[in-house]
Amino acid sequence: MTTERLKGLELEIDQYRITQEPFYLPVRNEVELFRTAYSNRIPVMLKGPTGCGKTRFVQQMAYQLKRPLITIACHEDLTASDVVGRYLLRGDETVWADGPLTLAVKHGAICYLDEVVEARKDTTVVIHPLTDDRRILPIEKKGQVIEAVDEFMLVISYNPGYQSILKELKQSTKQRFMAIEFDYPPREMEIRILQHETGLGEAAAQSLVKLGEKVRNLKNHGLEEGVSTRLLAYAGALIQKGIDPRSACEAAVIQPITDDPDMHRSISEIVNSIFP
Amino acid sequence: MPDPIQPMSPPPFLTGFCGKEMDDASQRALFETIAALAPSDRSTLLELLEELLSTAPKAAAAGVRNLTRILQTLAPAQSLAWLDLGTSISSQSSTAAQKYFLESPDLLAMTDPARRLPLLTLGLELSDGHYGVVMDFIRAGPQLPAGIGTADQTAWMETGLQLAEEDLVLAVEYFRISPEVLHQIPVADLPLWVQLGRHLVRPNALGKPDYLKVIEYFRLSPETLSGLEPADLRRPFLELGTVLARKSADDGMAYLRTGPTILREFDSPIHRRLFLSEGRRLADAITSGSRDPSIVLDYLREGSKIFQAIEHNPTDFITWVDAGLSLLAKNPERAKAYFSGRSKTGRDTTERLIGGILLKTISRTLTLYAEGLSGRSIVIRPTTDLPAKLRETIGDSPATDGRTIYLPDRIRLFPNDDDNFRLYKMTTLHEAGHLEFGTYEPDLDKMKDVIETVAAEYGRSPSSDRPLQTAADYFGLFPNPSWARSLWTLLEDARVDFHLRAEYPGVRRDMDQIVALDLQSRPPLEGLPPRAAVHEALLQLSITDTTEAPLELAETVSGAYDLLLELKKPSATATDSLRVLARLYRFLEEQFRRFPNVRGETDPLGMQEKSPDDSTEQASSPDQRGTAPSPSTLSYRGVMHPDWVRFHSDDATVPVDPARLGSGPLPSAPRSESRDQILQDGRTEAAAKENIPDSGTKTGSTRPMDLEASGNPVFFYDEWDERAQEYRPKWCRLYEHRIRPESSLIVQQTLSSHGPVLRLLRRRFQSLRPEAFRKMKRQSHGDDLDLDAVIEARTELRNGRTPQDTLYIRNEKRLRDVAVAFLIDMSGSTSRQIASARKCVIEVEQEALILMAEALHAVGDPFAIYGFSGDSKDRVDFYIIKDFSDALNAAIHERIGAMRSLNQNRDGTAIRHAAAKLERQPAKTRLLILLSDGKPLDTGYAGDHSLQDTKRALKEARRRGIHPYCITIDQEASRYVTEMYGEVSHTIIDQVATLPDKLPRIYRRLTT
Ligand SMILES: Nc1ncnc2c1ncn2[C@@H]1O[C@H](COP(=O)(O)OP(=O)(O)O)[C@@H](O)[C@H]1O
Ligand SMILES: [Mg+2]
Repeated sequence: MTTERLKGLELEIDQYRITQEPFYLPVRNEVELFRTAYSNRIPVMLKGPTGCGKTRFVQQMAYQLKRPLITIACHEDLTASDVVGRYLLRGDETVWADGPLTLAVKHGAICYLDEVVEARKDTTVVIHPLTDDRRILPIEKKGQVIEAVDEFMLVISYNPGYQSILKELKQSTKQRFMAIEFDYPPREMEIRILQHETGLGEAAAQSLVKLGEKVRNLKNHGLEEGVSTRLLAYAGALIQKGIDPRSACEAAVIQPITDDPDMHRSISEIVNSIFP
Repeated sequence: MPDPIQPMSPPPFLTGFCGKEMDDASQRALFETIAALAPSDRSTLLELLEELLSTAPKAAAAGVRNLTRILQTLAPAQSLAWLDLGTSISSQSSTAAQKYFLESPDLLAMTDPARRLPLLTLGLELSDGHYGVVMDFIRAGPQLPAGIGTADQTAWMETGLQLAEEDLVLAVEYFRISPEVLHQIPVADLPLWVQLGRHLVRPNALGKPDYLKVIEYFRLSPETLSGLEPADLRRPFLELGTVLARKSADDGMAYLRTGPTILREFDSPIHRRLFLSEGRRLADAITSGSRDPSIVLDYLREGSKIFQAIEHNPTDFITWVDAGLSLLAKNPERAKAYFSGRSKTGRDTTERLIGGILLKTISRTLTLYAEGLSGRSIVIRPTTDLPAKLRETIGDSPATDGRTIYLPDRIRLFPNDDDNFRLYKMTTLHEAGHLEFGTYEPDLDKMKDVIETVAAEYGRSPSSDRPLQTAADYFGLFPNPSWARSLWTLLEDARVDFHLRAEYPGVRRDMDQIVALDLQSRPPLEGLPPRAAVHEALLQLSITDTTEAPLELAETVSGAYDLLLELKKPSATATDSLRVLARLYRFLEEQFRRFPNVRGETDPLGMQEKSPDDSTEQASSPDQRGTAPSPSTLSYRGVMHPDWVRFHSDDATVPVDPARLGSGPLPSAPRSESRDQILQDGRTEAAAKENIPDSGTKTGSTRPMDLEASGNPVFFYDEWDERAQEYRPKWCRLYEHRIRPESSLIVQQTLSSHGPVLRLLRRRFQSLRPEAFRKMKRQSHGDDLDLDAVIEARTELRNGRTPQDTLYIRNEKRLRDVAVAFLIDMSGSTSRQIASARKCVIEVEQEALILMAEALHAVGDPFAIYGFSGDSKDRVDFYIIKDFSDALNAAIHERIGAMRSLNQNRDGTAIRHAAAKLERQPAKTRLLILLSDGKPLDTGYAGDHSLQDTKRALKEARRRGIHPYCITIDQEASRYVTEMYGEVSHTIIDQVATLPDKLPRIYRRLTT
């Protein structure tokens, strides 16, 4: 490889660096756990429902640890090549291009595989060698094996709340990670988060958090998932922009979480009960 | 006075005749009577006699013999008319005249003198041609009601005369019955009454008039009409009947038979009139549109029910009829369904008219609302589900036992449903509030001091071996437990409402609106006995913080209010309510000492023990609405049962009675009871059915099936009415059965003789198993370079052309996620013998199923096998041979072997049920394979109706994400099949014997 290309790659990795501190309110001892995992090169699995702060937490940790953060959102069509890299035709020749995982392995980034269950099995398999003490990444197409630099860290997220049996993480994968459990932040913290995220006053933030609690009561009573902190923050942002709270909740809370008319009406009534 | 100077000598024709017929004395009497007549009368008489004697000597004898008596009882003019009439009759029939002369004198003697002459005069007119009716006519004379004047009498006779011109039989009946009918209707209505009768005469099979109906009508009329009160109802009743009978005599009769009974169900005359006039409106519309008149009968039956249901609201009733009339104009079938209560439109209209909200339509919403707010599992049930004993004390008031919230099954307090919903919501909220704010879990540890004080004060300490467990036990420490209970209810409700208003600012306005309405109907405090007045004042203060207490109670009320206010604090708990109760009780007790027995309140202190149900509020005066006593609380606040309020304690030394804990607060019996009832019915019917003797359509393999006795769940399904273009709601009743395994020859033969076939099948199907990858070539990205594509691209490049960039191969994992249900027609026709195979259809089907099951087992797709047959819409039998959850084993084979040809087949219902079961399968692809051997056919389920309903059921299945596929083994199928299965994929197998071979192939094709 020429020096020029390497430069290009350096530039590429730089764009993954987090320069401004993301707002994250530690809930329990997750920061300490993560730091320990990092220094001991243990891969980490963040367990918890969507929108409860997992991504934000990884961002914060990447900032604290001064590592680039490469996030891969997993989905059904994500192939091993998408992650590892592939040959491309460039002009008259074929050129190899690193995939995001390879990039992270080489440059000591934190690689965050979000919603890892959504990935196909053959894709999940490529991360396995990175999770044991070998910390290697085989690149079959090139017939190469790359050893991860010490700063490299693998983080996956997993939402165990999914109802479907197809969406369960394989035991063989689960067993390779240290787990940090996440849940919606406790009341007082969630209020502060909402205030910080949206600039909302305390009373309004309190009402939103109360709504969140009531709606989360309905999980397993007809709702697959409770309402996430993220959605509450959206609602808060709308309210802050002057939208009537009931409409804001309709748009940012009720509509996204349910298509069931009865459920819709029930949550509307809960919203109406909380917001005059 | 006879002229003594000119004695009259009888003419010889008379003396001669009399000499032969009468004794001397009689002759003398007759001659003397004649002699006494005025000369002109006498000569007329003699002329008449002479004519009579010459024309009908035999009849004349009877006439002459009674003449003396007639002349003595009737006025001369009447007597002459009598003789005249007799003579006229005798000129036509001697026998009739003889009868007349013999019988009429008595009848005339009984007839009002004023009526005689007109009667006889018209009789003369009548006799001309209709002499046979005359006697009936004369006979009516004495029976005419006293009030009938001359003009009326004439009108009555005229009507009869007219009728006689038309139809003698009717005329005879008329004269027989009409006098009695005249007691019920005015003469003016007689033509109407007759007219209705005329319409009932229809030619019979021989072309002769059939009088049976009209005679029944005439004879029943007096009773029928007298049953219609008030009298002015009778005319509209007859009018409606006439319209109906004109179109159909049968419907007319049915109307006459049932109408009065139905009308009597209406209490108010106004409503009866309305009901008839609306019926008339309908009948007229039917007449002008030439529609089916029996709709009026449906109207009578259904309309009276509707009228009850809408609480006799005339406007609503008219709306209901209007809706039916507009249907009538468009689609008479639908109108018929509407008026007979079979149609969904009809029910919807009724529901709308009845108004209000049904709990069942919103119970899920309310449940989720309450669960969200309280964070607990909650069940909402109608108060009608309360066990009978509790229902007595609770009535329709909302109530909670800490888990189940009982609400009225319908609320229609307000004209506007938003308001009705608001009341439901507030009630739910309040009950959920009790749960959220701990009403049912007071803390015993924080009560100990109060309990001791109360016990010491009133000397009713709890027994040491049974410590306090519930609030009821606590109230038992007070001298008047029921008063304690009602004060506590007030305090606790106030506390919960306070919390609710603080926690949920959004409900304040809703609550205020309901409270405002409630307070309007609260009794004024003035005029209530002191204790009731204070209670009422506190109730109002519990929510509004203002009340108008009478001066002499001001101190009491304000003191009590101060105590109440201690609970209107964010920190107040259920335990606090119980604590404050003790103070409030003592305070009021002291206060009431100031009112010794005022205003008739005998026990103002409530010192005497009362039965628990005899709560204080019942002493309050009736409210403005009249009879009912004021509701003891606000409409959205339910009844609380102190038994359900259980103390909890962290102090482990407090013993808990396990027996009491074990039995939950409320038995949940009602629902399961009724379910058991249905199951019971199902069983008995199933049992009864098996005893039905073999109808003969079946061959040897049709022994009754052995069913598992594990109860038969019952399901109800709608059926599509194509002509009315709507569903018949809950029309069909389906019983689910499980067939008991039975070893059978078919199974063994199939499994052994098809050995090689089976192996092949298994192998083929195994190759369908999941986890197979499919290589997708020429993709824009992928796992591997597609060598062919790359080489091609290079070549293109060399030749200076731009290559395509689709150079990859992609491995696509194909997840097989299929569930299939087979639905087999087990109707009687499957016992048909197939010559070529020397088997009958069902046996071939069994064989096919066995092979199919093996194949499915190999591929691993979840599958179910169901069979169906039945007998009418009330008995669709659905047999589970293998359910999705059953593993394939020998028992399943034997169940397949136990299948029999049974009865009829109502395909639509069975499809709906199978689809419902299939729908619960999690698979991505859900397949329903219907195997039928002919047209759907069942009682009331044939022709186009059955085809259309089946088609509809398949369409419904598709809409639910199920792929139906129909296989028909019927040689004559082609014509109806396309109509029935429409755009649903299907195949016709004309050689039944090939089914076992074809079925797995079809399946493979469908799922590859
Ligand atoms: N502990 C927290 N500190 C700060 N923000 C948080 C926290 N928890 C949740 N959030 C908020 O929730 C939103 C969603 O969190 P995110 O990390 O995207 O969820 P996910 O768990 O799906 O990755 C964030 O954008 C942030 O606003
Ligand atoms: Mg209450």
